[in-house]
Amino acid sequence: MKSLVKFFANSNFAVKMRNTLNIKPQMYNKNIPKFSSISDSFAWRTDNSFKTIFKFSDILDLFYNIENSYVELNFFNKNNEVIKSMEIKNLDLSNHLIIDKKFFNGLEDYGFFNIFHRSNDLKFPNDLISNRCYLGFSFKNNLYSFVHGNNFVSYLMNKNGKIGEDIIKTSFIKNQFYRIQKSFDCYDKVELFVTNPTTKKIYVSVNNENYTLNPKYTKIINIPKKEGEILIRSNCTFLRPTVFTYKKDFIDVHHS
Amino acid sequence: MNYFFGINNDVFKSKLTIPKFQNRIPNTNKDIQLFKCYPDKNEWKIEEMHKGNGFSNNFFIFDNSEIKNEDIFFLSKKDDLNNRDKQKLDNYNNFTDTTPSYRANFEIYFTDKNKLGFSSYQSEYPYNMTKIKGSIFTSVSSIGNREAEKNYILLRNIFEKPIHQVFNAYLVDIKKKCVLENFKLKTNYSNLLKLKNEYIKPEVYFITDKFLGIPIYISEKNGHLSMEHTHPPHTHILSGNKFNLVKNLKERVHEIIS
Repeated sequence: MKSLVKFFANSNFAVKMRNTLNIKPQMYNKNIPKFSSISDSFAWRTDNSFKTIFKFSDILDLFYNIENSYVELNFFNKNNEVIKSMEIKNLDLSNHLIIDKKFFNGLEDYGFFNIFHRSNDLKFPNDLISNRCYLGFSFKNNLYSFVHGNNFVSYLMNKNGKIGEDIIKTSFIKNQFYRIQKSFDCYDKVELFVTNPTTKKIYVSVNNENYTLNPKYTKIINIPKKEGEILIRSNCTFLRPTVFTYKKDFIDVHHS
Repeated sequence: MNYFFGINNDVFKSKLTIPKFQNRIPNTNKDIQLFKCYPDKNEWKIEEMHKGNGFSNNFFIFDNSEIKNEDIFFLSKKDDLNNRDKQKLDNYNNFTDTTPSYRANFEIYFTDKNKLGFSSYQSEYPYNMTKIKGSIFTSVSSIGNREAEKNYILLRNIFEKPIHQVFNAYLVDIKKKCVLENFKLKTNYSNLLKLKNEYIKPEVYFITDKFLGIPIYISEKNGHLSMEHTHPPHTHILSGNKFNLVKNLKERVHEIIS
C-alpha cells in the first residue's frame, strides 16, 4: 500500500500539483535510471557576430579508464528543431569544438545542444554521470568569455540509446521565483539567454514582461537599460538563464 | 553559510556585489549586515562594513578600496557574532543556505586603467569547505585559452584557522607522469599564478596538496577578460561511489608529486 501511495505521489500530475501547492515540492526528477549520461541544455550562438567554443572532458576515460568511449551531440535551433547531430570519437582527456557559422553551413542563429557520453561495450558504469563542460562566447572575434554548464536537462540511457527528458519539473501556476543576485545598473546592454528545459509549455515573467516558451524553445530576452535588477517568475521549478552583459564591444557571460 | 572574496593586486582589481535577498524569495532582508573578516595575529578580526561605492537597499556593492587578498566577507546580524571563537571561523547564521546556492557577483577588471575588459561569475565559498583539508584536481585546458595573450589561475583558499600557511600546488602531466611546475601558495589568500600557454594541454592538470580552494581561470587578450571557475571532480558523478572514484583518481595523481 505504501509503495502504491509513493507511486501516485511521484506521478507527473502529482508532482505538478505538489509544486503548485508547495507541498513537498520537487525541483528535479530523482528517478533517473543508472547507466545514463545527463546533459545540460548548452547554449550556442552564431548570431550577431558571435561564435561559441565548447570544451568537454572524457569523463569515462578519466574516472573509469574506459577507452574508446565517444560522445553524441545533438544541436537544436531556437525552435527546438534538430539541425545537426554528430558523434565524436577518438577523444582526448580534454576536447573542444568550435561552433560558428561555418559549422552550421552559414546559419546565424542561436539555440541549444546536448552532449551524452557513450560506450559501445558493457563497461559503461553503473552510475549517473554528467559532464559540466564549459562554453566560451566570442563577440566580434574577441576573446572567448567562459561559462560552465549549470543545469541537468536530459539524459541518455547507454543501453538502448533512448533519451529521457523533464528532469526539471513544472507547476500549474507561475509560483516559482528566481531573483538574480546581481545588479545590472552599469551595463550598456543585458541579455538573458533562456531555454525551456522541459517538454511542457512554460509561462515566464521577467520583470513583469510576459513570455510563453514552447517545449525546449530558446529565447534571448533584452533587459531594458533602466532595469537594474532581474526577477523571473515562472511555472518552471528551475529556470536559470545565461546572462550576457555588454559595455561597448566588451562582454561578460555567466550563469545567473 | 557562504563566504565571499575578491582579489586586489598589481594585475587585477575586483568588485563585489553581495545581495541582501535570497534567490527564490522576492523580498529583501533590510536587517542583514555585511562583515569583513581577516586573519591578524592568529585571530579572526571581524569588522562591520559601513561604506561601499554602491551600498543600496538591495545590494552591498564595493570594490578594490575595500578589498584585500586576505579579506573574506559574510552576511550576518551582529547578535549572531556574540561569544564567537576568535581562533576559528564558524557557521554564524543560515541566511545564505539556499537552493540554488546563495551567490554574490565577483567581477574583476584590470589594474591598468587603459584596459577596459571585465569579467565576472556568481561566486560563493561554502562554510563547509573551510573546515576540511584535501586537494583539488582540475584540468588546465578545460577553461585555459591557448589563444589568449596571458592565462592565470586564481586559487582562493579559506581555511577555518586564522593563519597563512604555505602549501604546494603543481602542474602535472598525467600521461607522462611528471611535474611541470611547482607553486607555493598560502591559506586564507587569493593566490594568483601565471599559467604558461605551453602547458594548456589535455593531459595537464592543476593540483594542490593538503589544502582545498576554488580554482578560477582567467585569460586576457587585447584588453578583454574572461574568468570562470572549474568544478570539483566528484560533481561529474551523481550516484554510487563517487568519492571513492575521485579518491582513487587523486591517489594516482599524488603518486606523481610524492
